[in-house]
Amino acid sequence: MNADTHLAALRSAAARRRVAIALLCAVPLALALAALAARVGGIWAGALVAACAAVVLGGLARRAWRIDAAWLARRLDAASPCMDDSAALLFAESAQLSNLERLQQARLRSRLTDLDVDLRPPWPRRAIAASACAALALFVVAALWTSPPRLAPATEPAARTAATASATTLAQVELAIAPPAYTGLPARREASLEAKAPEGARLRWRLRFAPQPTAAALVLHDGHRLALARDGDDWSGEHTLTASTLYRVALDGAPALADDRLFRLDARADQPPELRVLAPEHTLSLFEPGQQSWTFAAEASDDYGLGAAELLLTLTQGTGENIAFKEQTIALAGEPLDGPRRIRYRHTLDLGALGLAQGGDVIVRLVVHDNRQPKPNTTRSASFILRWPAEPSSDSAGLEGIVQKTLPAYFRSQRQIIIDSEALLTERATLDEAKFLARSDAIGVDQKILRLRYGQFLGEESEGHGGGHGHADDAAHADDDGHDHSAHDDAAPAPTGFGQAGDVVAEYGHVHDIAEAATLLDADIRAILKSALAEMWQAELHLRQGHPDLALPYEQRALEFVKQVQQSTRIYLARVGLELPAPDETRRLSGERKDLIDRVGSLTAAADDERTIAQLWQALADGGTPDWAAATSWLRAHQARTPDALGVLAALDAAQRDPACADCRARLRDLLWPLLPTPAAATAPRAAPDAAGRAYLDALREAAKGAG
Amino acid sequence: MTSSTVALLLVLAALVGTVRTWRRGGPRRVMRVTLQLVAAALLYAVLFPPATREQFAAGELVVLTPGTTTEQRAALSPASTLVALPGIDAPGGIERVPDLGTALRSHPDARRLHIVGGGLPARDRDAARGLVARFDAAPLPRGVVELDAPTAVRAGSVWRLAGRVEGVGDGRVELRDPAGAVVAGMALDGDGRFTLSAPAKGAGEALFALRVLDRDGTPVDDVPVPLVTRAGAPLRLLLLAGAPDPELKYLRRWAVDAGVQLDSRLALTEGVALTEGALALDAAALAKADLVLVDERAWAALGTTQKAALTAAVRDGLGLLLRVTGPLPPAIASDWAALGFRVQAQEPANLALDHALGLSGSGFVFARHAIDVQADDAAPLLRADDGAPLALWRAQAQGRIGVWALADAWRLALAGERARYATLWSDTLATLSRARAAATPQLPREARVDERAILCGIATGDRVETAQGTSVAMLIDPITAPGATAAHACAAYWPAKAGWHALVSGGQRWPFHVRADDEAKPLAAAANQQATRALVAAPGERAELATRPMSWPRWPFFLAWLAVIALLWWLERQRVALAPADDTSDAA
Repeated sequence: MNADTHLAALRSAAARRRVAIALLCAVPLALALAALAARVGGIWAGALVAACAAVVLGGLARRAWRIDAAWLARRLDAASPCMDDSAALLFAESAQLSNLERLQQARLRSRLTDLDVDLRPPWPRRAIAASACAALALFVVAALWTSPPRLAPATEPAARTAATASATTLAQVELAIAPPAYTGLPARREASLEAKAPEGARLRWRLRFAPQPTAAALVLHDGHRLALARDGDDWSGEHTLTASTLYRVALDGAPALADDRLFRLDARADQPPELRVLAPEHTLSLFEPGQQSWTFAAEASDDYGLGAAELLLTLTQGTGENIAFKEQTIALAGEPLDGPRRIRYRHTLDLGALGLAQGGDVIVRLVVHDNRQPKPNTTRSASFILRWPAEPSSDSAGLEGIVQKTLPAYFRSQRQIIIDSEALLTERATLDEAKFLARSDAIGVDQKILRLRYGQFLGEESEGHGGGHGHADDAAHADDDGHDHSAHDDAAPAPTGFGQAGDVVAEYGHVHDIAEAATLLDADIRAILKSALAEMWQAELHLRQGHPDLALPYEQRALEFVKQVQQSTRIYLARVGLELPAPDETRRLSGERKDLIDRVGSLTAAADDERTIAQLWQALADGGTPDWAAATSWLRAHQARTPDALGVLAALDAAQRDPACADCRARLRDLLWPLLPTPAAATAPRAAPDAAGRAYLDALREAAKGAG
Repeated sequence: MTSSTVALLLVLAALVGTVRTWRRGGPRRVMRVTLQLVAAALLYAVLFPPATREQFAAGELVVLTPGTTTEQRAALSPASTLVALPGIDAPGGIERVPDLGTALRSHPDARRLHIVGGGLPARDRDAARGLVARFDAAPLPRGVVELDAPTAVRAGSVWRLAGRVEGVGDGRVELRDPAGAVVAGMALDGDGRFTLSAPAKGAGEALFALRVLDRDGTPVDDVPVPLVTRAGAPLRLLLLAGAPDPELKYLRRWAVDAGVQLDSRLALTEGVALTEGALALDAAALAKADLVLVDERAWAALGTTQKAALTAAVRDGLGLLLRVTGPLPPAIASDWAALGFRVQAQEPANLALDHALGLSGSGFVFARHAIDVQADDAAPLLRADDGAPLALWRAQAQGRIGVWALADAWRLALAGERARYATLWSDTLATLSRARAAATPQLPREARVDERAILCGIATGDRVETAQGTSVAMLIDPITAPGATAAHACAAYWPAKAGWHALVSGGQRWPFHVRADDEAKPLAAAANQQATRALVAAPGERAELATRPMSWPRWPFFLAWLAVIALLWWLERQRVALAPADDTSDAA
C-alpha cells in the first residue's frame, strides 16, 4: 500500500464518520419535527416538513462528506507527531516545492505507509444525546398535542361508518318518470328517491342495495305496498302517481336503509284551462239596429295543451211565459298562439241565419277542455248575452222603461178543485155538453198542475216545460196547498219568484225521477203522498173525460191524504231561524208567575279537537315521549284541511324514528305550529305578595282598624 | 446622551463642515454652507422634535372601548391620557390594558373616566362605578336597538312586542311565527318605533323572529324573539248581573272556554234568572272565590248582610269588580263611595282603545257610560287612547276593588277580535283576583352566551338544564339571601350554548332563552351603551385643565432633512464634476 492509497483510505474513513455523526445528530430531530408537523398541521404538513428535512439532511451529509486537504493535513499533524507538523506537504505538487520541502515530503510519505493512525473524528456523545433528547421532547409534544376541532370530524365519520355498517346502503338509485303522453313532457330520470311529477305519471324505480335483501317493497304512507321485483342485481317496481304521497323502502333479509325516512312524491295536478273572453266586453250587449253579426272571441291557455272547444249557443224567443229556446253547440277550432298551450278562438254569429228576432236573446258560452286523461278538465266561460229588446209594452204608456208583462199563474188547491167540481155538477143542467166538457177539462188541468206540484216532493220530474228548472207552465204553490182556500183564489206571483221551496229541492237536491232519492220526506209520508198522487191521477182522468161526478170521490180522497201529509210536520222544508214555542195565550199578560223557573247551565265549553297536536308539540319541547300513534292518526284524519300534511307526516316520522335527533324534533315543532289551536285566553290569579308586601298590607289594615 | 451634548456635537460638526467648505471654495459656496447648517438643525429636530404645550383634563382617563370610530378618536385631545380596552384596533402608542381595573391601577391619579365608543363591557362596569364623568357613545349599528318583549305570556292571550329600529328610514318590521309565516307587520314610524301584537298559542316555548326590512324590502336585521307561554290557572269567578246584555254573553262564553269556574246569575225577571253553577254569597263561598263581578242592578238587589259579607271577603283578599251598565242611583253611589269610589254623572263619550288593545288604526269606537269615577288612591285598570280612565282599581286591605265603566267591550268580539277581547278580560281579572299564585322565579330577560345571566327567587337545589340535557346546580349568592329569608335569593349562570334553557325548581320547569354570541348585535350594542350611560355620574371634583408638552411627529423633520442632504450631495457632486483636479488633491 503506497502513501496515496493510504491517504485516500484515511480520508474516506473520516468522511464516513463525519456523515454518520451528522446524520445521527440530525435525523432524530428531523423525524420528530415531521411527526409534530403531521400532528399539528395534518399529514400533508408532516410530509412537507419531512421533505424539507430530507433536503437539509442531504446538504449536511454532502458537507460532511467533503473533506479538503487542509483538514486532512491538520488532522494528520494533530494525530501523529511523526508528521512533523508538515503534513500539508503531502498534498502539495512536488514540482512547485523547494528541495528541502521535497525531501520532507518524501520522508513523510515513507512514514505514512507505516503509520497506523485513526483520523476519524470521535463520536460527539453529548451532541448526539442532546439531539436525541430534543427529538424525544418533540415526540412527546406531538403525542400530547390535542386539537379538538380536528379530532371531532375524524371521530364522526368513524361513528357514521360504524352505524352504516349495520344498515343497507343504496348503491344505485334510479327513478324513471314517464309523464302521461298528453302532457307532452319528456320522460326523465332522477337519481333520488324523491320527485315531483305530473299527476298520472308512471314512476319506475330501479334500486340496487348493498347487501342484497331477499325481498324489497315500497310502502306508501296510506298503507299500500308495492313489491319490487328482482332483476339481476337491481330491484324495480312501477307506480302510477295519482296523488302526492309518502313512501318508505322496506327490505326483507337485510337491515333497514341507512336513510330510512319517508320519501316524498309530489303530484303536480293538471290545472284546468284558463279562459279570457276578448269580445264582447260585457256580458250583456244590446242589439243594434241593422246588426247582422255578432263576434265572440276568447283566448284560452292550459299548462299542458288544450283540447276540444265548443260554443254553447242558446237562442230564446218570445216574451213573458211564452219563451221558446233553441240550443245548439258549435265546435270551434282555434288559432294556436303559442303551440297548443295558448289558443285564440274567434267565431262570428250570423244573426240572420240564427233567426234572432225582436224580443229574443242570443246567449253564448265557451266551453274549453284540456287533454287530461282519463277525464279532461273543463272550463266554462260566463254567459254572454246579445239582447234584442222587445217592443215597449203598450200597457206601459206613461211609464218609463220597459215593463215586463207577467201573467199571474192561477191554480187551485185540492179543496178548491172539489168546490169547483161540485159547482160544475150543480150547474150541469144549465150547461151544454161542450161547455161542460171544457169546464171539466179546465178543472182537470188544475188537478194536473197540483199533482205535478206534489209530485216534485217525491222527486218526479215536472212535465211540460222546455228545459232547466224554470216553471213556466206549472205554476206552483208549496206552502199553502190544501189550506182553506174557500175565500180566495190564490193569485200566484210570477213564475220565477214562486214556489222557491220546491225550486230549492229541484236545484240543489237533484233528485229528478228517482223517488227513492227524494229524501226530503220520510218513508211513510212518502207513501201517503204517493197515494194522494194516485188519487189525483184518477181524478184528473175523469175530469178530462168530462165526468166530474166520477172524479169527485178521488178528489176527496186526495184531499184527505194531503191533509194527512200536512199534519205531519216533516212535510215542511226546514226553516232557518228562531222557532219559539207558541205562547200560552191564556197566561199571556196575565201576571201569572207560576211555573217560571231559572234556566240553568246553558253554557258548555268549546270542544278541543286539536288537543292531540298541542300535546305532541309540548312533548317535543320537554323531551318527553310523544304519543306518536295518536298524532299520526289525527293528522291522517285531518289531512284535507292541514296545509302540507305530507310534510308534517314525513317530519313526524323522522322524529319518531330517531328520538335522539334534536333537529328533527325542532323541525317537526315548527311544522306543527300552524296546526296548533289558539285556546281562549287563559286566566291566572294575581301573584301573592311576598313577606314584606304582606306585612305592609297588614299594617295598613291594622291602621285602618285603629282609626275606625 | 442628553440633547445639549447632541446639540454641541452637531454645532461642532456643522462648524467644521462649514469652515472646510468655505475654505475649499467652489460654486454656490454660500448655499452649500447654509444648507449644511440647515441640515444640522433638521437632524437635531429629528432626534429631539420640538414640543408644544397641549391642554388636557388632569386626572381624567380616556378609555377607548370597542366600537370607537376614527372620528371619535380624532376628536380627542392628543394630550389626554388614553387607554384602550381589548377589542378595539387602536394604533400603536395608545396604552392597551386588559381591563379597566388594570388601567385604574396603572393610573392611580385618574379620578374621572371619559368613556369613548360602544360602552364598557359588563366586566368593567363595577370598576367604573362612580367614576364615569362623560360617555361619548359611538353611533349605533343598523337594526333593532330596543326590544320590549314579554318573557312569558298566558296561553291564548294577545301579546305585544314593541321596540325601536336604528338607521332604517321608511322600513318595516315583520313578526314571523316559528313556521315562518308573517303574523304581524307594520311600517316603522319616524323614530323607527314599532308595536306589534300576535296571539299566543298553547303552553310551551316558541321562537318567533322579528325581521327588519328596509325600503326596498331587503332584510336588515333578524332578531329571534323567544316567547314562553304558560297555561295559567283557572279562576273562580262569581258573576252577578241585573239583566243579560251582550257583554255578559261574550264574557261568559270566554270564561267557560277558558276554563274559569264560573258561577253566574243573570236576573231575567223577578225570581227568575239565567244561572250557571250554584251561586251563593255567603262567607264560605266568597272565601273560595277569586273574584266577584257585579253590576249596579245586581248590587241594588243585594241584601245588607250580603254586602257586608262581600266587603269583609274583599278585605280578606277577594277581588271585586263593579260593572256599570247604566245611570247610578244615589243609594248605590253612596254604597260605592264607602268602597272608595266617588261616582258622578257625566256626559257619555265615545273613545278609541287602540293603544290599550295593541291595535293600530282599527277605527273601533267604544262607549263609556255616563259616569265619572274618582278615587284618591286608585290606579287605572284601563285607559282610553286620550288618557281618560275607563276602569280603576284600588286596594282594600288584601283585596282589590275595581270599577268598570266601559260599555261595549263586546264590540271587539263581534268584530272578530275574540283573542283581544279575551285578553282584555283576562288581564282585568288577573289584576283584581285574589292573590294566590305562587311567586315565580325572575328569569333573565336577555341572556347571552358567555355573559352572566342572573336568576332570582330560586331555592337551594334548583338547577338549570340546557337543551342538550346537561344540568348545572345553582349556587345561591349568600349576599342576596341573608339569613333565612330566601325570597330574593339570586344566582348567576354563564350560558355556554345558545338555545332554550330551563330553570328546574321544585319539579317545575321555567324556560328561558339564551341568545347566541352573534345574534341581535345591534340590540347588544344598544344595551351596552344604555348600561354605560347609566354609570355616568358627576364625580365629586371638576376636571381641571392642565397643559403638557407634546412632541411633534418626527417624520416631517426627517423628510426635510433627507431632502436637504440630497440637495447637498447633488451640489457636491456638481462641484466634483466641475473641478476633477481638486478631487484628486482632496483624496490625497
